[in-house]
Amino acid sequence: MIDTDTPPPVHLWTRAVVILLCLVSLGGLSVHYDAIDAGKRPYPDTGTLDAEYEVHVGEDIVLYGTVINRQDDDLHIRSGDLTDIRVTGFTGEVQPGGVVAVDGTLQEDRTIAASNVVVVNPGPWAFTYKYAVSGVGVVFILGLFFRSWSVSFTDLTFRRRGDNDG
Amino acid sequence: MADLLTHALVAFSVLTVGSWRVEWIRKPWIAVGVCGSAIPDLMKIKILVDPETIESYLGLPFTWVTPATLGGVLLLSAVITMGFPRTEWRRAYVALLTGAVLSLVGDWLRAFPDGHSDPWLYPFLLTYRPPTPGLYVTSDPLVLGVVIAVTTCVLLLDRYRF
Repeated sequence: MIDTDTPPPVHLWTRAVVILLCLVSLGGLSVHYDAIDAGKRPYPDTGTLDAEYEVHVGEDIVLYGTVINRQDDDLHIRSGDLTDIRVTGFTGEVQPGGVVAVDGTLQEDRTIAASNVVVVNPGPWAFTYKYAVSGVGVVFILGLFFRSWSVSFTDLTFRRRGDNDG
Repeated sequence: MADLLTHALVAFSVLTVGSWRVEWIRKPWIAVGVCGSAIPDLMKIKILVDPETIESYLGLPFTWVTPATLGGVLLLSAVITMGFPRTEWRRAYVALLTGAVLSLVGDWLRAFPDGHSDPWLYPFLLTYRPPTPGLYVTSDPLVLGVVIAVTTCVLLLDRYRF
């Protein structure tokens, strides 16, 4: 009697076709996402600001930038094409080399009156911290996975450890 | 994007708690779900391959952001599922997708300066940037500390209560 509960094995080429279709679809999304600027926020970018700064004075903008230095409640940051822009009204803690995300109103003389500043990286050490912790994450994920699974090279699939018939 | 260890531990904890109610979620499937939590991080391939290089080959606009969107994780979970035997496809896909969606939700909770996250619901909501509660920034070690503490509690409960 045929066991109807167990799906038949799938040929390698069938799996390859499914993988190819999914990756091509993902590629299509990756083109479409960029074509429609799905990730673009409704603010001028630094290139636009640098070229036509005065046009945008008074507008609400968002900038991510690296901190050059701090003077009281003012930050001087570098953001893309803007080599030095002043952010006023900052009360948090950040070191030179840290990264901030600023939401505020563009003012004359290359200044932003900040309404909200998110300290993305408090200092240059934060980059190392994030990548080091993510490295530990990679080891954790792979260790956990290969404790329970192994690779069967005969049919190129993962097999649960301890299973002989999958 | 939160660090990879935080994503992995969140998936591990949620799936472990899920295993208390759902019979088939055993250790192998928790491990697969934890792997799924890394899918959105595949966007980091942009560090190795500049999207402009791809654009110059294709002659089309291109971004590596899509692995960190709902459409991207649906497709990449399917790709990885093909690495499992046919009998395991359904469970593999559910576990991978659960881990990946948990990471997307975790990233949505981050602080953004204008209070709106990236459009991670793409392509189902093309350019919609959901309002975010702004709970944390990735570089804050307290985030990882809290997640490690919660994971430890879950492990202790799993070990001694169930």
